[in-house]
Amino acid sequence: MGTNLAKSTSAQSSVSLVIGSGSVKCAAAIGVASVLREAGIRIERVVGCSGGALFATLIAMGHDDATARDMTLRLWTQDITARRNNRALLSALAPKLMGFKASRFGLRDDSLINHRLQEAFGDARIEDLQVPLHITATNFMDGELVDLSRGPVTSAIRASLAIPFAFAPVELDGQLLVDGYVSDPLPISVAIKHGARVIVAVGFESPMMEQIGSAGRFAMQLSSIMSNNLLRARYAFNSVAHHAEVITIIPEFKKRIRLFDTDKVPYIIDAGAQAAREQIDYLRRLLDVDGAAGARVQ
Amino acid sequence: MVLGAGGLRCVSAFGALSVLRREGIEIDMIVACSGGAAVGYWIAAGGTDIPEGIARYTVGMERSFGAFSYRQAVRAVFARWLGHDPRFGLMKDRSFNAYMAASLKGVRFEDLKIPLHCVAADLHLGEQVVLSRGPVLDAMRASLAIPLLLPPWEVEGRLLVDGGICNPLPVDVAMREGADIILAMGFEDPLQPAIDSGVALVRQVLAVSANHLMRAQFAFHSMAHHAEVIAVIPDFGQQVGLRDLHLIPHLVRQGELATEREMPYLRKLLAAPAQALTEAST
Repeated sequence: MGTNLAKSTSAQSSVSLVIGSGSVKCAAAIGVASVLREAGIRIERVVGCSGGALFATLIAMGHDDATARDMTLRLWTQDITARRNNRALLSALAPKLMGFKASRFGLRDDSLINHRLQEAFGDARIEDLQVPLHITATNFMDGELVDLSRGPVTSAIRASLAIPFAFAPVELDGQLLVDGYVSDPLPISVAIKHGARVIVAVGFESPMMEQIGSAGRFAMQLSSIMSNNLLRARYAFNSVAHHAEVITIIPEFKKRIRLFDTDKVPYIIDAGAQAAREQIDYLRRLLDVDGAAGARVQ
Repeated sequence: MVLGAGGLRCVSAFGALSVLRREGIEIDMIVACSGGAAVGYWIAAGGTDIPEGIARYTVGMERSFGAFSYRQAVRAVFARWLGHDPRFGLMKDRSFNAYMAASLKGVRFEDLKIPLHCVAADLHLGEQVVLSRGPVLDAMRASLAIPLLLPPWEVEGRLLVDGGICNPLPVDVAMREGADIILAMGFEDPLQPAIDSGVALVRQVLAVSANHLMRAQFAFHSMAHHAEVIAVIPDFGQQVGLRDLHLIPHLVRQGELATEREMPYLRKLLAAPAQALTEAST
């Protein structure tokens, strides 16, 4: 009886943290995690998709704000996508001649990003981290969401970041994986599947472009429209279908954040913390009520 | 009747229509996007002879293939020097536009026998746009603006494209318009058997995204609303390209079979209120 009580007390004040796709904006999750920590709320599980996978890993490793920020500043710099992969471009123009291979196709050279990930995470494995971690990717052959919860951290993050066309897919255990946002930009379903009752979700819609100045931007706009609609539909479905309590934290950025605005990372983290602080009272009440009533009263 | 996005496959809606007619079931509203808009318009305008409708659809599809636009393709690669045309599409659309303007001249939504709602998407805002008023031409051309192939279409200052990128099977529009029994014909995009070229890669990304979008939206709307939605998802057993016009009889037949499979349930649904009434009166 006593041990049961103790168990439920610890379960009471814990949440699952889900970080959706959103490139460098996902750094806001570092701010969210630190506010949760200050409030004495334990993170029992972290789920990350695309850009979110990187920050989910930093949080699962138990890094404090300063360390996570410094690692981000080292990892996420403009030069990681600066080099073109001309071979890939040629193989798309002349597939027969150059031998087109989906597993190698990405318009950007990914050697630097692989190197940086290796430097930051080395041989760390997902199953050895402090907090259970799930990184989501998309199986490119059947289109389904893949939940990576064991294996090397680096290849899982790289797979989750494999934005179609920009970076080559990743072959992992016989599966060809691409960016997780293609199947679910904010994978709260993964947390629900693992029994989460209270979920803190940090999510972002892809920004709409005011100027569509090239065919590539045209395609990007189409993909943003589809993924925003997918985000909303998935979110709506999970809210209606499941009894988990989902608290969404959408940081407001007064400044415009571009893909490689690394200098804005401290600002992004602060914006995340600010947005989390606005929700923390509600979250506390929810966790208290939960403990008292034993279950959520619908 | 809700007709979802699906390129040439939308022609199978004629198969569904023939089953409904055989059963004496009337259609009181049509919501359509992408290729479905063409079939939807024909039904809404009071088309009776189904083979004639299929023939017109076939001609329309043929006309929609403009010549490959080398200018646009070159511009796509050298956008920085040549400038980008906001109406981007790899096919020329001038002759198709002329054909559509000629066949839909002066037709307005208000003149149709059955209310029709065409679903398009605002390219800049990413929002769904439902067109149910005014000239049918604008709505149809916008719904048919298959991304990257046919250039977008401007309506009242907004650049519109195929609604499939927002809402590939717009059952929610029918619900909002008060439908209580909805026959929704949707299409899953087939996955590529092998990804051996850049085109196959693009198609795979689009197919995976569109399928997820359709399933997620459908799951939500079925759960959140009280309308009865009968999903008819034909299985064609093969890849269907936009130019596979020779497959049309097969597509129509599969649409018919898929609708027949749902008939027992649909019959029961349509009979239910009548039964309840007679029970109440006795």
